[in-house]
Order: sequence, then C-alpha cells, then structure tokens
Amino acid sequence: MIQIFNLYKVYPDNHPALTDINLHIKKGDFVFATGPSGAGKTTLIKLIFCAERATRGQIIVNGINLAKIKKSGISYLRRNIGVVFQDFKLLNNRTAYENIVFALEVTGARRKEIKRKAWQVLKLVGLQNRLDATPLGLSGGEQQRIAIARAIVNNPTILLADEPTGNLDSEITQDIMELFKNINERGTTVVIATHNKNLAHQYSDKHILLEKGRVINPA
Amino acid sequence: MFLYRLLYFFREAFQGIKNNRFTHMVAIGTITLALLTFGIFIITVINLNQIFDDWGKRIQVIVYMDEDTSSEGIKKVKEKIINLTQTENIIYVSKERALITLKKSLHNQNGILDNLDDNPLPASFEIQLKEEYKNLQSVQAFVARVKGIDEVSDAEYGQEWLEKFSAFISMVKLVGVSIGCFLLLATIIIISNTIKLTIYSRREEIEIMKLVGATNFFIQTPFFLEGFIQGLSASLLSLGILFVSYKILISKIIIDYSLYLGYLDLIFLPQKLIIELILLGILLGLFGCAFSMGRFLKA
Ligand SMILES: Nc1ncnc2c1ncn2[C@@H]1O[C@H](COP(=O)(O)OP(=O)(O)OP(=O)(O)O)[C@@H](O)[C@H]1O
Ligand SMILES: [Mg+2]
Repeated sequence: MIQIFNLYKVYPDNHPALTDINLHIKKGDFVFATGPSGAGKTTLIKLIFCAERATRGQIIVNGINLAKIKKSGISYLRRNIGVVFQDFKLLNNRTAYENIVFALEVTGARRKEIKRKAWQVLKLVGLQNRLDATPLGLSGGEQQRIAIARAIVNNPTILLADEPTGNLDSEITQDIMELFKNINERGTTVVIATHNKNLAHQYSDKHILLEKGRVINPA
Repeated sequence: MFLYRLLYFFREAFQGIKNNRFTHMVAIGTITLALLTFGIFIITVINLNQIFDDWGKRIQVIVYMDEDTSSEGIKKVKEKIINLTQTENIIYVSKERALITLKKSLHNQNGILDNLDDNPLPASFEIQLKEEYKNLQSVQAFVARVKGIDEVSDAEYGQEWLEKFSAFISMVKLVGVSIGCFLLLATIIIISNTIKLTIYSRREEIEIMKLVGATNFFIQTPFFLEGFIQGLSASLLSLGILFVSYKILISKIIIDYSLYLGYLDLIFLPQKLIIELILLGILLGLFGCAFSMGRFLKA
C-alpha cells in the first residue's frame, strides 16, 4: 500500500526533516506515527499525499512512484487519499453538508452521486441531523467528524490524519479514534500522526517511532 | 453532467465577482477605458480616411501651358491628354477666362486687377480623371507624364495638402497605437491584480480543492470565467459608450461640417471591428487572468 525506500527530506533552509526512512505500510493497517515535536511526523504525512516532494528516495503509494508523478497525477492520487488535520480546515461560510458536497463537486462527481455519497458519510460520522449547521456552530469534535466525512467521501484507500485530536478533549478524542477504527474496519488503511504515545498504544500495536527525522523502532 | 459542471463554474465565478465587487468594478472600468481609447482612435482614423477618400474624389489636375503656345500647340496638347487612359474629361481655360475667374473670386478687391497692363495668368487645362485613377499614386504618375509634354510648363493636383493630410493620418495612427499599447499593458496588469485578489480571498477553498484532488482545470476555470466576464462586460460597455457618443456627436458635427465643407457621412465602427473589439476585451480578461494564474499555480 505505502512503501518508502531510503527517503530523505531536506527543507529549503537546509534543515533535514527526514533522514533515510524505510517503511512498509500494508493494506488495511492501522498505524501511528509518533515522536516528539519536530520529529518529522507532519513531514512524513505531507510527503505521502504529495504536499511536499522528497529530496531523495522513493515513495510508492498504491503502486504509483511519487517521485515520477506529474501534476495532474497528483490530483488523481489525492482522490485515493483522504487527509484530516488538527485544525479541521473546513470552509466557515458553508454548511456541514455543503463542505462535503464541495469536495465531491470539485472532483467532477455526478449530481445524483453527490447527494447519495454525502448522505452516506454524514450517517457514518453520526451527524445527519447537523447538516445545516456551519462549522462555527459546531463543537470541535463535530467539526472533526465533518472533516473526516469529507476525507472519506471519495472512498479513498488510505486515510491520513495529522494530530487529528490535538484540539479535542480526551473524551471526544476517544470518540474520534473509535470513528477511525470503524473506518479502518471497512478496509481503509489509516495512518495517524500524533505526539500522544498513550493514545497510540491504546489503539494499535503498529507504530512508527520518529525522532529527529529518523525511525527509531527497535528491530 | 456537462451542464451541471458549467453551472458550477458560473456559480463560482459570480461568487468571486460578488466577493470582490469593488475591485472587479475598477477592473471593468479600466478595460472599458482602454477599449474606449482604442475605439475612438479607430473611429477617428476610419473617418479621416473616409474624408480623405471623399476629397480625393474631387481631385483634378491643372496643366499650365507655356506662355506663348500657339493655338495649334494647345490643340496638340489637348489631343495628347485626351488620349491618355486616365483622362475622363478635359476643359480648356484660356488666359482671358482665367483672369475673369480670378476677378470673380476676388470680388471685393477687383480694382487691383484692373490696373494690369498685361494678363499674367497662363492658359490651362482642367482635367478630371477616371474614378479608378483618383488616388495618390495614379495622380502622381499622370502628372509626371503630362509634365513631359513640350508645351506644358507645369501641372499640379494640390499635392501639398494631400501629402500633409496623409502625414497627419499617419501621425494619428502612430499616437493611437502607442497609447493603445500602453493601455493594453496597464489593463493586463490591473486585471491580473484583481484576479490575484479573488484568488487570495478564496485561498482556503483552493487549498481544500487541491487537498481533495480537484484538477488544475477545475480550480482555474472559475477564475478564467471571471476574466472572461470582465472582458466581455467591458467591451460591451465601451461599445455602448462609443455608440451613444457617436450618435450625439454626429447630430452636432455633421450639421456644422456640412455647412462649410459639403455633405459628410461619419461612419461608426464596421461590424468586423466591433467583433474584433469584443474579442480584444475578452482576450485582455483572459490574459490578465492567465498572468496571475501562472504565478499562483507555481506556488
Ligand atoms: N516548511 C518548512 N520549512 C522548513 N522547515 C520545516 C518546514 N516544515 C517543517 N520543518 C522542519 O522540519 C522538522 C520536522 O517538522 P515536522 O513538522 O515534520 O515535525 P512534527 O513531528 O510534525 O512536529 P510537531 O509535533 O510539532 O507537529 C522540524 O525541525 C521543522 O522545523
Ligand atoms: Mg506536526
């Protein structure tokens, strides 16, 4: 599903963010990337959905070599990768329902399909009765549910999440994690970046431990 | 499906215009101004050309005879000129006739001419050329030919004003083209700035579009549509202004002009140029957009 070989990422200011990373994430895995602040978790996530390009090495996602991907290829790759962030990244001038529709519309989905799919994911995240609320009228947990709904509405094979519960209290965090687990059980590969080791241990035994840009998992 | 997408693009474009009403208005105003300047120059040049042609139709060549040409000689010259292909019609003006005409035209001060011992005016021919030869080159060729005849002392066709007028039109064209080019550039820069502002005001939407895998085509099209709408509204607006001003002007100028210089038919832009002006407006809008898009998509 996701294979990484000898990956290096050096940002323009010559600061090495990732050094010699080798990973293999299998289909259906539920994986955490953990490590202290500045370890390179966000950078790793960004490289997988092509928000950043690798300095050296190979990343292969769904059989596609990201080093060789073209601009238009990135668009189609991203329809197969859902991404969720700490700050939700919802459009505040649109309702919950419209936020999800937007993601379908701009990828050129058919009108009928849009309605059906939007309803389906809203039901899945348990917000079918809040679809007319704008993000500012929703709690943090609800906003993150909408963001997750948007991320999975195109039925991606991979769901990436960067500190998805960083802005949420512990009770809501559990709910969101259960939702990720739920999505994973439906066959989606889930990769979550977090500095919260306990949370990672609670939900999975597959961890990528990062420190100063290197994987430090015991062999 | 296609219609639904088109609807989406238009909705987004109008949303963009609505969100940045003021900047869009400024942009449309600028394009309108640029196109208006173009239009005014084009109309001016077209009409000057028209007047030029019109006056050209009245061109006649006057051939002056040597002082002491015999009536035999005059006949011979007349024969020669009639046989030239360009000649339509020829009238002989004798020395006496020329003096009478001059006296008539100076009706108030004809006392001056009464005291002349001798008639200083030469005999001449007034020649009308055939329609198809009433242009600068043909007239010049004709005059050169006639000057070559022995008994002819000189021939003229009012070259001075013809050449001056010709130079004047060239200058108007030059000024028009330079101002026009400058305005074109300014317009593109201003449009590209408005589009940049809409891009900025929609950066979150664009970020999410990229995130969920919208193609560049999908991201860009609404902006190009904005540029297109700007250009189109500006061209229609400028054409409207041009037409109204033309109608007002025509009712004033024509009357004045006709009093002094004869009948005049001022023309508006021909259909072909109207279409070209609209296309220019649209092109400007799209260009301005492409300009800011290029920079934005690199980022
Ligand atoms: N755009 C950037 N330009 C330059 N350096 C960057 C950039 N993004 C991240 N870095 C640097 O790369 C290193 C890894 O950053 P990254 O954001 O991947 O860490 P992280 O593990 O996500 O940290 P956190 O837990 O604080 O989010 C850090 O030292 C950071 O300063
Ligand atoms: Mg981070």
